[in-house]
Amino acid sequence: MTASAPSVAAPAAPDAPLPLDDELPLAHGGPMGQRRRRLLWAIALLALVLRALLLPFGHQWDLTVDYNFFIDLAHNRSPYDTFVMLSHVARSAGWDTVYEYYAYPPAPFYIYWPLAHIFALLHPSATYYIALPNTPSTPILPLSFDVLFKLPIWAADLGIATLLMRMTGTARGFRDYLLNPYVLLISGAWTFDAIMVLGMVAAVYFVSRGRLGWAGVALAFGAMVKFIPALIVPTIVLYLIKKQRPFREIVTFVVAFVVTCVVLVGPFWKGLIEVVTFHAGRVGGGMTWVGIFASSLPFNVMNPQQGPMLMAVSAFGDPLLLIMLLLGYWWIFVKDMSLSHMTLLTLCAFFVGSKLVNEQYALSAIPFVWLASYRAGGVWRWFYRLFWIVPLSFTIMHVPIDHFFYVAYHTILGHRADSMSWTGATGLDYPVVPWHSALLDQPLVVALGLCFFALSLVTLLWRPPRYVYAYAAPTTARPDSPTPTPEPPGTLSFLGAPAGAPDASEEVPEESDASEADADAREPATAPAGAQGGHPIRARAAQRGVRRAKRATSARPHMPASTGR
Amino acid sequence: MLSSLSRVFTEHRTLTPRLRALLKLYITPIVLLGGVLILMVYHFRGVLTLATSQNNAFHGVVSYSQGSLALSFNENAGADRPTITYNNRNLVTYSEWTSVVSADGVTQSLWNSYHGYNADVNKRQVYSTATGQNWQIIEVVTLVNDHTARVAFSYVARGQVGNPPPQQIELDLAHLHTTWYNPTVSGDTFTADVVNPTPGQPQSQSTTEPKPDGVIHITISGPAASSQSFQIGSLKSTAGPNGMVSATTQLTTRYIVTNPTVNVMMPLATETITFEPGQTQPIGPAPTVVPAS
Repeated sequence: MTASAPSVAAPAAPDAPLPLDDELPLAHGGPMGQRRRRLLWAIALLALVLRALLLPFGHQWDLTVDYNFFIDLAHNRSPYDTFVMLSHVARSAGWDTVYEYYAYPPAPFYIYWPLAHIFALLHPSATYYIALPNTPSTPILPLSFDVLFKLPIWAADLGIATLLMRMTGTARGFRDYLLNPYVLLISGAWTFDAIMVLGMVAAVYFVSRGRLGWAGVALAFGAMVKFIPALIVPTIVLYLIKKQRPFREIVTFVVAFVVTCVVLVGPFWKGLIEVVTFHAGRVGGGMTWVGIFASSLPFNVMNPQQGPMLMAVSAFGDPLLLIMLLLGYWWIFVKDMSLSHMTLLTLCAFFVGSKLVNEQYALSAIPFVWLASYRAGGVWRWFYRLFWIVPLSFTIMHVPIDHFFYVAYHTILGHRADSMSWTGATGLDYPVVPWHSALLDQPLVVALGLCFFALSLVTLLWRPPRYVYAYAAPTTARPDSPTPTPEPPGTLSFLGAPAGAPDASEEVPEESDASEADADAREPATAPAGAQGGHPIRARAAQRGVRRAKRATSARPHMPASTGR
Repeated sequence: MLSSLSRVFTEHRTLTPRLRALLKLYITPIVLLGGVLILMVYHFRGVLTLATSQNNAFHGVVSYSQGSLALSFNENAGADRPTITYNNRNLVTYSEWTSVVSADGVTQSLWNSYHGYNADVNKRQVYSTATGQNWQIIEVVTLVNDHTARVAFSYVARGQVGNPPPQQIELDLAHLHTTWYNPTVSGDTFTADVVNPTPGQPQSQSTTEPKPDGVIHITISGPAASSQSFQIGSLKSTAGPNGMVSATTQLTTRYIVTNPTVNVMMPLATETITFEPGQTQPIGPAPTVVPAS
């Protein structure tokens, strides 16, 4: 079923399907003003420049693994086979219980296979660099590798930013996502989580557009990059049930998801099972409460038994995660909220229940918490800020941040940086630096981890924002403007103002209070519930919205009041 | 509960509202039951894994076979690391008691180091690591098929502040067998006829020379392998079934690495052992004796 402009006819029966496009702007497509287009190009260019500056930087371990991953693909060898072999070596050599190699689903094989072969053409003598765990050994990576590896990630970032723009009708999402410091760090200098997040955001967008087959395909693509999007399948199913959609739509979504997964897994299903087993057996830590047991704090009374205790605690991690997810699904089912918010809370349930939450996992929540902050404002703006500040701070302390220089040093200095492979010196090795301070390092890391855990829990339990669907067609005159004409369908309005208004495409929505009042005034001020033939909730929302617009001047242009499901 | 369930289905509603009502009724017990089931499944898997590890540790020997070819790896002694056999007839034995590793001139028996092991049953592989003060030698033994086995060696030069990495690593690997006839080295391959004593009869009491079981080839490859890597030791001339033949009981392969990359696992050499049962080499001139150093 394709999305259309929000229906103004009252539902024929209590169990009639409810529209899916409540969260989307009124119309899509249409001409963009020249100033707006220049603004988007400027933001995209700035984002590209920042990412280009971060090219030689990277997480020392993960980028080394990605390089070996490229070598695997260039030699048409399954990275899963290398993972299994190296894990056996690691156990026999006493390095660790497993070698942390490529341990994700196989979709990146298809994305990076051609790029790896291009790399092999440019560097035919490139070979494996199997570094010892917990050592600063870093290969000398050519810039061509950095470009080829990060190119899909940049494209994914652009895709996510574009979807946020389409989902809100403003360029703010485009800007806020692409220029977010945490996003810059993860996408510009770390890993390919953005490709996974693109799949999730695209799935939510397609559901809102009523394209459930495409939503299943997009979510499956994301789930086959990293596992997290698979958690959103029940979320979307529950959303469709809440919306009383036809059963065939649910089946379409699920079948599309499963078929796409099966196609992408293909011949790699055995390796995928190995990877899932690896994740199930991992010890916990990161931005969770389990991090206490992974630390070496003086007051950690379990310290003498730290290893076995951490393993024993982590053993409960998998069933605990599933129980937490089930509770999360129950919570989002019984509470009224939008799909993007349901997605956010599902991710929060994962963050709360998982034994291991690495720094980059929070990237999956950024678009959805941004949507909540943009649509509802208020405390949700703080949730958004904390959702990137806390993981960024944790990364700075835990990795720590100067280890991102290893790769750059080796790329720039070449073999002159070889001694760093066993000294680990970065030039910032002073006790005054917090992550090198014996007094501050561990307490700060644990505190930040607990902070993120608490943030996720609070977000999960906080009353969902209830906002009006302010994208109804304008039917009343603006108090200070000429008689408006209703927006023709298919016209993109960045501003919330009718498309026929003069210079409508040149205005900047977030700075204009007048446009906010315009948006509010578009809702019928005194019409009784259902009188305009619209949804009764929207009419009530409109009444509240007008009252609120008159009281406050800081309401958002598209979100004048709060109600809705 | 049953009456509410039947009411859900008898009332005229579309399917998804019914689903919604069902979920609201049953989601809580589903959550609880699901959690209990998951705990049970995981507990069983953990117990099974533990039992397997305990069994392997008790026996101390890991063995695989493919057709008539078999390898066994002894974790508790410095010999048979591994032993390759064909129809229970020994072909070659790797001995760490007589293998030597040298790091910057400091020499020690490979057996006199820390050892760690692991095995991959699915791929018929054994992993063994010998760890010294600032080096590691990693051995991966694979039973490839019913006539080929492969032993791959890698090294790690370890270094950290206060314990600098070595500048040169030398590895002399001892390969032993009762008797190899006509041992020859051609390029990167060692070839010999495999001879084993007649079962039940000590060789010293044998009145005829035993017939070779077949021909063994040991081919080396890798960054540290070269034609100079082979050293045939204890060479002697003896009477064979078809006349005088040369024979040996030991082969040493030497690998040298200089200025190794630190804290990185680097390939050293791979030895591929191939056996041709029932074959013998054509008789040729006795090889030049190369004393083992």
